[in-house]
Amino acid sequence: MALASTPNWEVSATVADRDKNLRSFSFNLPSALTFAAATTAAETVIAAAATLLNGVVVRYGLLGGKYETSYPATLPVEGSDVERKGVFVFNTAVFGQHVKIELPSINNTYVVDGSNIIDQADTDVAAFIAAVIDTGLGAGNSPVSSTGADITGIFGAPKKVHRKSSKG
Amino acid sequence: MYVPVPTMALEWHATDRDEGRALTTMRLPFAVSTADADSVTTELHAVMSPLLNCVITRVGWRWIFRNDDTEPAETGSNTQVLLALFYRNGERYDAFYLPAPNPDYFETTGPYAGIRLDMSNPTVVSAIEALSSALEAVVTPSGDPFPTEFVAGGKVI
Repeated sequence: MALASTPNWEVSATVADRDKNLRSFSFNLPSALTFAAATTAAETVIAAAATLLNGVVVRYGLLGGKYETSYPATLPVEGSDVERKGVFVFNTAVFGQHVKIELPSINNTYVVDGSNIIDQADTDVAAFIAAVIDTGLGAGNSPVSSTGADITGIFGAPKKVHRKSSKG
Repeated sequence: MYVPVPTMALEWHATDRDEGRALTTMRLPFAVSTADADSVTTELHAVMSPLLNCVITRVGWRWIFRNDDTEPAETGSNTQVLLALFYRNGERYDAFYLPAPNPDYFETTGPYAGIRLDMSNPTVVSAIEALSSALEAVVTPSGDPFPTEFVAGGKVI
């Protein structure tokens, strides 16, 4: 298993009309562009396109990242199921504000027998929780809440939850 | 004017054996650099992977900028889309779909009235020139240069 960088920046711009109906258009930029250069190029294209519109570009997103090189040549194991979630709820530095992270296809060996509780004492589970709480990842850019509050600790016991399948 | 939202999204795309798909989102400070996002991704991937028996097929880093300043025109409507075709060297064609094209810029007479951009309108011509110029920086999904020669008029669909 190895992650490799995606070849492009994907830009998606959302256009709103007077009645707040939303549609989007998208394009790609080379991943060799720095983040700053990509935002400049994206806004140049969007500004030029917007001249032809009478809707308004209300937001745009710049998407980079990585992809798994071994997929789909190597398939997930037979018992994998993304609707079997490992649900972890964390406290943040803002009192009462929580962050929920749902890990898909949690391996059932981490679930305490006779319950749906995920075993926090397991070293792998503890390592994941510690990494999310750790404020030192990526030069201090560890996961935060949607408003930017630091994640400070686990809230309650993590659980395994089954979602209803949309495929029947 | 576009302003950043408070945080950027770290999107984990997962797939199971039956092609079931799931998305898990985490948030990082908006100012995180791509290098630091990469570092966080690597570190989290290392501790998440043992817990899962699906495959993380992709990790996306999404930065979003918002524009709350401008109100759409009264006649603004997203029901139409301009299919703007571009070509390069007379052979490679690619499409650019633009929602809510301004009907003031459509042809008003002839068989293409209401469905093509009026290329005799100086505003349209300068807008297309600006767009063609801006597209020099754009690539196709496969990484090839995006075509920049506009197929006159496009088509409103």
